Amino acid sequence: MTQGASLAQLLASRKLIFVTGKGGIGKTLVSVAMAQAAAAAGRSVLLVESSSRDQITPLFGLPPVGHNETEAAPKISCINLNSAGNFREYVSKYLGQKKLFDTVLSHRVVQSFFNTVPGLAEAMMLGRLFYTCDVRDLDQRPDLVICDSPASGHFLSLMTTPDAILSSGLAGPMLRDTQKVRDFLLRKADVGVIYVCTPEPLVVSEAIDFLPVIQAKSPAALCGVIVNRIPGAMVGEITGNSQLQSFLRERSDKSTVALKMLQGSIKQFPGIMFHGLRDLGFVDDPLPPDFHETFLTEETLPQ
Amino acid sequence: MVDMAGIDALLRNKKVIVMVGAGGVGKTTTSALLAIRAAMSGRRVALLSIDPAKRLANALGLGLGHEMSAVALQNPVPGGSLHAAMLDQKEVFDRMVLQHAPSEKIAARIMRDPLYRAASTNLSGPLEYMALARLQELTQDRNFDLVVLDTPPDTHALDFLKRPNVLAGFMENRVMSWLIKPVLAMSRLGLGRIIGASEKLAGGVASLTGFSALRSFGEFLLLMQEVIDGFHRTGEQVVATLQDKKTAFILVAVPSRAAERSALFLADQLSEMDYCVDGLVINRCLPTVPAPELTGVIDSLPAETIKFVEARRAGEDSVVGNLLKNLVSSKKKPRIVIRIDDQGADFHDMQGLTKLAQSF
Repeated sequence: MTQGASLAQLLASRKLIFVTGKGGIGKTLVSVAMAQAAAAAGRSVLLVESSSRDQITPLFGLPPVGHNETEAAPKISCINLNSAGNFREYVSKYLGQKKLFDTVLSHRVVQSFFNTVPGLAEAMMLGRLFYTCDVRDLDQRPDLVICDSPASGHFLSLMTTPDAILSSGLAGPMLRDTQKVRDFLLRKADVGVIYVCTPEPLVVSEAIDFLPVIQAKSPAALCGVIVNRIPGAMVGEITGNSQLQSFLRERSDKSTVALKMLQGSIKQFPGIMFHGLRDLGFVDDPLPPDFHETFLTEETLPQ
Repeated sequence: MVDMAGIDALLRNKKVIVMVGAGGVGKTTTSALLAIRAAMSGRRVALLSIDPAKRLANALGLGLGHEMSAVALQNPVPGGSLHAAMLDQKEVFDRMVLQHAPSEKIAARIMRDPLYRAASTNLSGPLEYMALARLQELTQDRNFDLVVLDTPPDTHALDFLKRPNVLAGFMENRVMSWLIKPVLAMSRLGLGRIIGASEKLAGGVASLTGFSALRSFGEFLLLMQEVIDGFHRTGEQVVATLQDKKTAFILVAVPSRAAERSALFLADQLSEMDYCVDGLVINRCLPTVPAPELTGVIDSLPAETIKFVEARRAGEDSVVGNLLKNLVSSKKKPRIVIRIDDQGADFHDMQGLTKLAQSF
């Protein structure tokens, strides 16, 4: 069941897509598959994460790249942003104050100051995404940035940072630029959030709680929900009483119930993409270059 | 591959169990299961969890909070008890501010500060200190025989185990005081005379942000400094506790390549710190079927489900095999390996948790 735009339409039209959801439900895999699909359709893609260790590069069979934009596949680059790197680039490249950075702000103490004021690290992260999507020279600009974002709670902190800064009474370039970043994130045609979940009652009830909160608090609009790991079997297809059969039957039944709950709840967000993905059981890495073709094929959902 | 005797011996003999693992692998739930199982074997257990899904707190019949509260066991045994505290990040900070602020007025100002409010739900570091300080208190508490500590879901999490007395964040936070103080002073004195590096520093920071707005946040960081200084004194003891033979580390993973990488990374970090990995729990495994029945069972399934089961089974074996091989080769061999069947289910209440705690 597709409502609103299709996944392909989103991948063809947006400049920046945030992918979020509960920990461990496949955000990174979905992000990388989406990048493959967009690249296959001819767009240049930058895959962004901000993790203590690279999660994306292993899926391409590459060693960690850290804060260095690196080509991972034709038309796909990736980077693992860290706050020190974002800050350096903001001050020296964007503000053009290389001297300020080199003489003062590169000081370890100042760096740790900026790491300790977390609102600032998050502002730098969003600023860097804005810069990449909308400011830097056109020939350097990817057509699409996919941000494999932090899990739900931290994602919300990330997205509420601009408002916190704007209402904190800060002044100077930080304030001016935060306003610009916020204006950019508000551009619905360019920027969107895709929420990934799985058809398990606990995960779905978290999603149902969380989606309205994104709608209310995030300047970037919710544009889609992807349900990963949908069991292929239909109700009544699995019989027998072995532990494995009972498990599979229960999994299938619970998934049907969870999906119905989610579908009911999603009606309050008209125009949101709703896309189901089949549970493949296990995904090995590195991913084949055409992984997206099977993985992103829309799974039929119960009516 | 269920090593019941091993896990029960561990739950019987250890005084501290530290659970480590990446986000989304079921670490908090596994911590609760082990704590329940230990309590049902007659031990007096304290479960300390950081920022868990609220639903687990609900399942245990608890609110979030710093204080240990009693959990009603389904099948209590003489002597056995379970208490749990679920540290909530925001609550930990608010509490710290209220406790340590020099006046109510300053406390109120900090808590109104938009930066504080945005940051206090997302600021790691101090929460881990609090958890370790709490761990140390609990190990001294004569009401408990066993403390189960659930760690935050991030590979950074282990930084705080490294050298709890002198770890990086702590050093940086110490530095905070002389960084923040001039900023505060400047805002109070209206650009008073500040000398040397501080001036440049404060000037650089101020030119980007306008420093007056950072005042409340600066006050908060100074408070935190005091809390952390206090913890500094117990840091040595925490290291001793963590390295003690009566402390066990249990690695939690799920059968996926990402979880495998995280687990190996965590195991490396633990071994660098001379902490020993005693156990490996792999959640979300497919239930096993006795070999003679397997063919019949598989044949009964729809084609799509067979594909799923085969891929999952092969992947699971490969992940578990790699984990064991690598952990063994680097002499970090966990003595206990538990594969917990995928419950495909949620734990709404103690009944469900207890059933699972008894079964695995």
